[in-house]
Amino acid sequence: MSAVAFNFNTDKIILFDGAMGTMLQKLGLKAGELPEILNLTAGEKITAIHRTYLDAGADAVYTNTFGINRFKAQTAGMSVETIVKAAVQNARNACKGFQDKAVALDIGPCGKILKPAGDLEFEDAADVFAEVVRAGRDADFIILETFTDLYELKAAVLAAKENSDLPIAATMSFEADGTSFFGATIETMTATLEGLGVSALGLNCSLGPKQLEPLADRFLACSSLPVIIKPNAGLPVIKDGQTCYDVTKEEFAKTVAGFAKKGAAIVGGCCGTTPEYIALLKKELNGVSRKNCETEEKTVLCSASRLVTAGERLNIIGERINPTGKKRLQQALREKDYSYLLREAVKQQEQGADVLDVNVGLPELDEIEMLVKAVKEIQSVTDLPLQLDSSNSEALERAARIYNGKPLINSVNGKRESLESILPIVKKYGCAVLGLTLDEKGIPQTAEGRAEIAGRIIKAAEKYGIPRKNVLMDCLVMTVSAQQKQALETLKAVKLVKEKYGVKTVLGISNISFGLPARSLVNETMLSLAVKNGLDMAIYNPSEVRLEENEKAVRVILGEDKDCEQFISEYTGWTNEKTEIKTQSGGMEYFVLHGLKEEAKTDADLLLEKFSPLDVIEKHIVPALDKVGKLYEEGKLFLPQLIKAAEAAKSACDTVKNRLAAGGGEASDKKIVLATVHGDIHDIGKNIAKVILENYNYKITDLGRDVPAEEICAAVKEQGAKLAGLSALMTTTVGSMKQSIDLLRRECPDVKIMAGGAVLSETLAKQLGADFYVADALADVRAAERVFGSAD
Amino acid sequence: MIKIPPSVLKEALRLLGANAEADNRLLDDLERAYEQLLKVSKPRTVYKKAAVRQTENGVLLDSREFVSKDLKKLLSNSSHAFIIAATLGAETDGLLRRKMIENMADAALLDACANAETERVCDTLEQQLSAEIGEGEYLTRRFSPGYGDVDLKYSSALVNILNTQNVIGLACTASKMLVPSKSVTAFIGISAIKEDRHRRCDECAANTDCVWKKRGERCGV
Repeated sequence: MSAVAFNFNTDKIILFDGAMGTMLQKLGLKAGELPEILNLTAGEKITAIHRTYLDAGADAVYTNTFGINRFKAQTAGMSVETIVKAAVQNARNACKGFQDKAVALDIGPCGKILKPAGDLEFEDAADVFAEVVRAGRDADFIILETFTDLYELKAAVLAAKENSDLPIAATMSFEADGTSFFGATIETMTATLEGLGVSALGLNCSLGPKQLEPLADRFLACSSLPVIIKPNAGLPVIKDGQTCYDVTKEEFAKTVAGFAKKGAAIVGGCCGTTPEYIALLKKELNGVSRKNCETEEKTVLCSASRLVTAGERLNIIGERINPTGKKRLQQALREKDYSYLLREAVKQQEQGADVLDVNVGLPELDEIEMLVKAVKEIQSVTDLPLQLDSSNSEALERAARIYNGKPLINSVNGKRESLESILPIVKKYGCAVLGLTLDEKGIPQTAEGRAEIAGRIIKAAEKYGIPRKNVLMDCLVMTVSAQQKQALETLKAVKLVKEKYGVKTVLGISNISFGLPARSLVNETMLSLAVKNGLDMAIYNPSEVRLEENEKAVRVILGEDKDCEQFISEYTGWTNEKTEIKTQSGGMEYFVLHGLKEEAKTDADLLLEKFSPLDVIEKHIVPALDKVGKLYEEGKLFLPQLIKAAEAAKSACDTVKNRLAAGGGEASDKKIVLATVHGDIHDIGKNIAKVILENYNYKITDLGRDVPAEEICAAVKEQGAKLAGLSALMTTTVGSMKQSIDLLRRECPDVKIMAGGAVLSETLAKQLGADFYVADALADVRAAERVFGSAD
Repeated sequence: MIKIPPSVLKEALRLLGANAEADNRLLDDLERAYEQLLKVSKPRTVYKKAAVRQTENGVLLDSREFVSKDLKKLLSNSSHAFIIAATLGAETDGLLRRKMIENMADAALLDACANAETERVCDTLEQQLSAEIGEGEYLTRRFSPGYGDVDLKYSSALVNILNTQNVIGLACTASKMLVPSKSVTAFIGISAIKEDRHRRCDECAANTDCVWKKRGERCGV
């Protein structure tokens, strides 16, 4: 290894090499052969290829290790270590006789897809990369390239950080619109990786230089790190059965040198480029020095595919996933009913939330496990960035680690203990953090006092290497009915902190109205005033945001809307009443049969005035569903209508369940565990079954998809479920189905098992040892009736 | 206004088990689901032409052997074959996951539309391929791993041959499921004779439990 770490921050343009694969094909690499094996079988040829790039003027060469990892090494019967060590040595040998040439340990995607899209766990991916990193420690830096999944790239960056001290550079491959195959954008990649401590980032492969121009511009506009641009030699064309690329070396060199002139710090070539391309590029770069691109300091949060920039307009951080004061959510958390959380997440997105707060802290629960699971689940159904909210630093660390993007950590405060436990997490995982203006002495009574703590938090963060743009401040809303003067201090503090430190501000608004009537009115008013004082983000219930209307009223009060002209013209005839639900006559059966959700819900409310909750379910909702079931079985209704009916029934059921949760009372004891078996990632059939079963008042524990037999067994035991429903789609997972059934038979002899899914048949289900074969969702209901007895 | 293509509508109805008498509301719902699908789907395809050699128990393609009597039969008149892959992309799976939370009925409609749309994308690719073959050459029907006796494990071979992960963002799980899920890998022979291009019931996985058969109808594939 070189004596000094590779320096990405010189004032020169750094030139990387061109394609390895293209050169190997020229050497006669055959289809199906592992190119990395050549490091061992034809090491001197690999060295020779590296040398041609160094001769052409490249400052660094990528080792011939792009695709190697334990999955591929296994198929060749070799160890990752042997191959990678040989590859680094081959590159090192090529550098002999040159000055200042570097060896980059090249790591590409692992060939498997991470959950939730695929079946690879995040930590398993990190482990696969860690092995390559450890074997390649003798390189001068690590290059992670051609990634299309930002989540996988994050796993690779963490593996690189945790297993070596080498600098890390990372490039992804994008389509012409600047989006990767898995939905990452240039901006989300940059926001996520900047904080993770890479030394340079950018793009490679994808397209030819011309098509990449707008993408290169976007990198230069948002990255504060050196930008790498390594395009293909154009687009692939098939000539005589061979893949060729359509851009000449002259055109390539000219366009790519143009990127350097605009501010790209590092350039090179990808597929289709050869030493001639690199040599010409070197010539074009003659006399070009590195241009410093000033990027705007922005406070951003992101998921893998969506970026939120604080300060462009008021952003709403949806507050609904926080159990404080929410009985139904508490119940869901105790029952590990993640689908309730997911519905809240999706609903808040529909209502216009920009970010979602995720807090699952209840004293009796394992918050670490729950927060990690909740974050994994929520990020699989929404692209909104998340605010990870916990007082447990370990829970925050674990959640920040597996988060796919750049989250906001809620929170740190001025107490020493908090600063010392939270800020290292923020630094390591590249998060933004929300600072609360309180310390050991409590919450200062004055705006100045709070600003002083804000200053201390910002300073402490900067000491840990966290840039100011990643610190947001919450100046704390107090309950106005208890401490009336504090409302004004909070508003003053927002303004002061913003002016004094230039950071973005956040407030949890709803606390203001605690103990008052007409809470939403007070909340809205506080929100409007806070916005006037410069608030950037509000932790709020997105269904209550009426900001535009309030803004117009505020403009009247402040005299900005002259003679109230605009207000009068827009609001004449306005009423404050919530839109009435159109009532329709017909009763529960009619509403359910026609899939009328709102009406079914209203009807349930009316029925609850007269009957007990269980009566409403069993005497009204279930009979309506039975009618629907009958029509479905007769072929008079089809699947979507069946589901719609079930969902209307569900909205009625939820109303009843809310009543049950509020009364802390009677819940169904008819428990069923559902799972799609291990290895199987298709779960729509199981999910349809769940919706239908829930509406027959069965208590469903849904374990999701790709569930190991042991987990199914544990859930059946824990719940005391009498029935387990297993689903498998393909022949390759029938084995898992068999294992699950066998284990259940051994460990839980009393449980009945129903099995369904595309691959199963009556015969196969019996062979596997299931009690019931369920061809469709309604067959599940019939099976359940046989186990638990008919609903009525 | 987007109009759902007739082939997609027909296939989606078939997948939902609905027959020709589907009411207008169901048709409207499918139209709406298709519209949502088009907003997120990013169809991508890749293919490769390879020489076919018959072996004792199957065929040799791109220096790999595929053991399968059905495949051997499919390609018995073909000296070359296309290996194809198509996907609607990861965003479609994401939308589907969200819809399953939001509204299961919409999810079922979307799922059916997405499956039907994947077939349409393959059909379009097939049209393109039929323009590429020469005089006196005919395409066989598409044959995917999982059909007949073609082992599902061959999905990963096709994924590797076409380098689909880097080219169209398509990979295979340990249990040989394609990711993104709305994807297809398949063989299409280039035959010297006009071939019967219909799928047969005895090659279908649902043969023994087919709801259409029970009703005395045919699914129409």
